[in-house]
Amino acid sequence: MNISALIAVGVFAAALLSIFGAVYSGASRSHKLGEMNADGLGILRWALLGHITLFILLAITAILS
Amino acid sequence: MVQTDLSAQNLGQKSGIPHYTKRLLMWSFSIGVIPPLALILALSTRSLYLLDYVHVISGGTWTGFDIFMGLVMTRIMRLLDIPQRVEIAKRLTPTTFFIVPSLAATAITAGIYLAQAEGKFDLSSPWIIAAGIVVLVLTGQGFGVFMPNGLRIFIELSKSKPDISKIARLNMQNIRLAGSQAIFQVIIILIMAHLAVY
Repeated sequence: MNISALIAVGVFAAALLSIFGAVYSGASRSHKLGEMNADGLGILRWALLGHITLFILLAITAILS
Repeated sequence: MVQTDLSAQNLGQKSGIPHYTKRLLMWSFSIGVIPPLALILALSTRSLYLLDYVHVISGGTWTGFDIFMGLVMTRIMRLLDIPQRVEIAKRLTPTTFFIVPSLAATAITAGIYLAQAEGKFDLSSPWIIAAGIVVLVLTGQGFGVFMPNGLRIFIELSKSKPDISKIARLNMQNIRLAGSQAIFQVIIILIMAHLAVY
């Protein structure tokens, strides 16, 4: 197992989650104000899930190396 | 000064996320999982040859994409009207949303494993430090600009009154940044060529 690679994947995943969180909270506010529909939030959740999957695959490579 | 109202209604465009967005995102995801899966295959079979192949093809495709965006797409986009640029952004953003970050992450990760496997991952080497700096710049741009801009485009599209000029501006920013990424990638390939030969 490559511990440094695993930590790097974790750091990047944390950066991704914090950026997503900031954008999502802004979008959620807009949704509550009636400025945007629920489709947008659904797309954001879908996008987050896709990126988390990619990070999981990268974490697997760190375990395999 | 003439005020231009670029709201979707004034441009005669339908507001809300287009019906094809999910389909394009699915396509982008299905292509985007291929590079990390290929990397998993290379590592699980302990094939240095396959690891090298995954690193070169993902890095080369990423660079080629950025050069295309920077040299070709910027020229094309400049010649289009804002509504036409938005139509491209609506399709380009979901299509590239997973593919480009996946190529970038796989190229970088495979590169580190390859350097470690060949005994070249020496953190005191100026070439490795230079490669690391370029990677940090590219990653910072990806996380700090590309991805948030893509998300902002999705958010804007799903508003009842999308700001069309904002969508066009964010998309143009991403395309221009891809051009600047291409310059950094040309530099990192120069470093890689040195590491491979010496």
